[in-house]
Amino acid sequence: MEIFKLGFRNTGRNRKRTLINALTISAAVIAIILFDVLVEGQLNDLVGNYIRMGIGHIKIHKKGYDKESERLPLDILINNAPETIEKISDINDIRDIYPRLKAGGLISCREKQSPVVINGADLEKEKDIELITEKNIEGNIPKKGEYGILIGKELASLLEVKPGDIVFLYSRTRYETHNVIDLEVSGIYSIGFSTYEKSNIFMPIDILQELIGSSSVSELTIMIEDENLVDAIADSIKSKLAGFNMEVFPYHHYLSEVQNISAMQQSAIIYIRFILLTLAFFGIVNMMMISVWERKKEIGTMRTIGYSKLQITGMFLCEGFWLGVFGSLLGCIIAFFLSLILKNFGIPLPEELLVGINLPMSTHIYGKMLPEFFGRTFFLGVIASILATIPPSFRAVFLPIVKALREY
Amino acid sequence: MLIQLEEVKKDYPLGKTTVHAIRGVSFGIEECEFAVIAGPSGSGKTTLLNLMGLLDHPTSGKICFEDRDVSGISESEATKIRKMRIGFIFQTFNLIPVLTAFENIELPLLLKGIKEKERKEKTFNILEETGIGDIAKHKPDELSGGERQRVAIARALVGNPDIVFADEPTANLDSETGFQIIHLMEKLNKIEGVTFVFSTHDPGIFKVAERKIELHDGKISKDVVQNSNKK
Repeated sequence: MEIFKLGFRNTGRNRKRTLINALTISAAVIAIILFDVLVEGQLNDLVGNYIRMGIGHIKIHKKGYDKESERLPLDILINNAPETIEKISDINDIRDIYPRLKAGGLISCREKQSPVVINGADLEKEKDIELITEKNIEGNIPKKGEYGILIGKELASLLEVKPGDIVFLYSRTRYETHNVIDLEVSGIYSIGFSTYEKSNIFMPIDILQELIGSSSVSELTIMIEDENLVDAIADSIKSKLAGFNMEVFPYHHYLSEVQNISAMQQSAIIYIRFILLTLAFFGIVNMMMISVWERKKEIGTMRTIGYSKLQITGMFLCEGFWLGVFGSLLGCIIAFFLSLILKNFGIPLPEELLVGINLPMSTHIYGKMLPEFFGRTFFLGVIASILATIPPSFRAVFLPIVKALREY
Repeated sequence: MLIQLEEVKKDYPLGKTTVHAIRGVSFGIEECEFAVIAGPSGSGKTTLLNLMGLLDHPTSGKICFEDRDVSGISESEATKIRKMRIGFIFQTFNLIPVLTAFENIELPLLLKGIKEKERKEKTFNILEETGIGDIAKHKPDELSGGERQRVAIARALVGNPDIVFADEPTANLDSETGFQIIHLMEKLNKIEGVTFVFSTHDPGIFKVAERKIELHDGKISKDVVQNSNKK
């Protein structure tokens, strides 16, 4: 206890040095937390964009569809969509349920053509939750019953079409025949995700159903109120639909790519944390070495009156502990306010950067604050500070007593 | 015999040469003695006190503490003996600057693991005995040289050591304060029966001691009992 008290008081003996040491830790803590906040924010943005690009929070398919989803099967469709929706509509926290139909096709205009994924949806109803209808639309969103189509900016540029132009859409039907329909380009969407823009077109679900000759849907996309409840809600949907021959997946089932990105980012963060804390570590070691040098005589005196090497080491470790607590606390407080700024105002991303990245990223990174960022970094700051006092404390205790006492 | 030295030598390497700080001294210190080690600067007084106080090991010879050979004991053993049985007073007071006078004095008792109530009582008693009860809450930098040395004496004595080594305890004090400190040590020697061995090169001070061991170039040149005022 005395050692703890001594360690605490020693932090106050040279306030300027203590402040510099604490600021060294604070700087590392601030940098780590802000990095965490930005990376989490970016990840959150990415996941959010994927969810709003048609994945939704939860998807319901006819059993077996997911395995075959790459070929956009028309033989594994939900035939009883209204009944299914009715069955699960009383589950709390479900915001809305959107039936969708997907099919493969070929779009052409004059001599230009391109294979596409045709997404049939009630675009009017989905305009608040669907990324492509939410922003950067040139033209209009085709309404139910309208022979209109919404295509991506990249595809529009490839086909050299603009809103008002007519395109032809070829598709397989439910009965493995072929059908073609001419549609007006109602609007052109742009989300900054070129691969998606090139290959995904959107049209009213009833028109697509007419094209493929079926009133069925490929999936029911569910949006929920609280993203944290996604697994629980998916489970209750599963139990409600037992016997319906359906499969239910929460959004993370579809985001293995994002999960890989997240894992890569986490590894990068570990290295960055390590580098920042190592820098802080050496800063403190340097300062504490000076402190030990100045306190040689006092350390000699303590050894003389009976303090063991372990107790002297303990005193320095306690000093490091308190330094770490002050520095990390200060860092956490400053980082909290800076994170609030990042959360509310974000950081703009250069457009040229977004073009090169084939991911649905927003033009701004907004920070996302999680309590564990602060708790974990505070802990790491304290540990780094304690570890940084080990080399100086060893220097102190291995100094011969008589030599220490001779110092002036 | 509390401490016995037999042909003790201490050499220090200094660059490529060796300094022979103590060149074979033999003497003993009895319990309750009040002895001064006198000699000019560089005569080996501090080295001798360091050896007797188990702060350093002799190069050769034998040092016995209550008939136990302590010449080559381990660091932890020496720490234990210093903590339990030896007190130290330094020329530059060597108080812990972040602790108050009271806390500085209390330190040896804390190290001995004495319970709080007894610790506080002992600390208050020694504060009164050394005449510094009114400065208990002050930190060292708020005290005069004399007060600091009184705190250092109280710290050396609070744990009831068998022997106290004082290395030039008056060297950083004016002569009047120096005499007050020596008289305080003398009083404590007589009342408490604590053995004092202190070093000085001030002829005015070493007259007060009952035994004077004179050191020149690391050798004892004279060892005399000069005042027979031992109780």
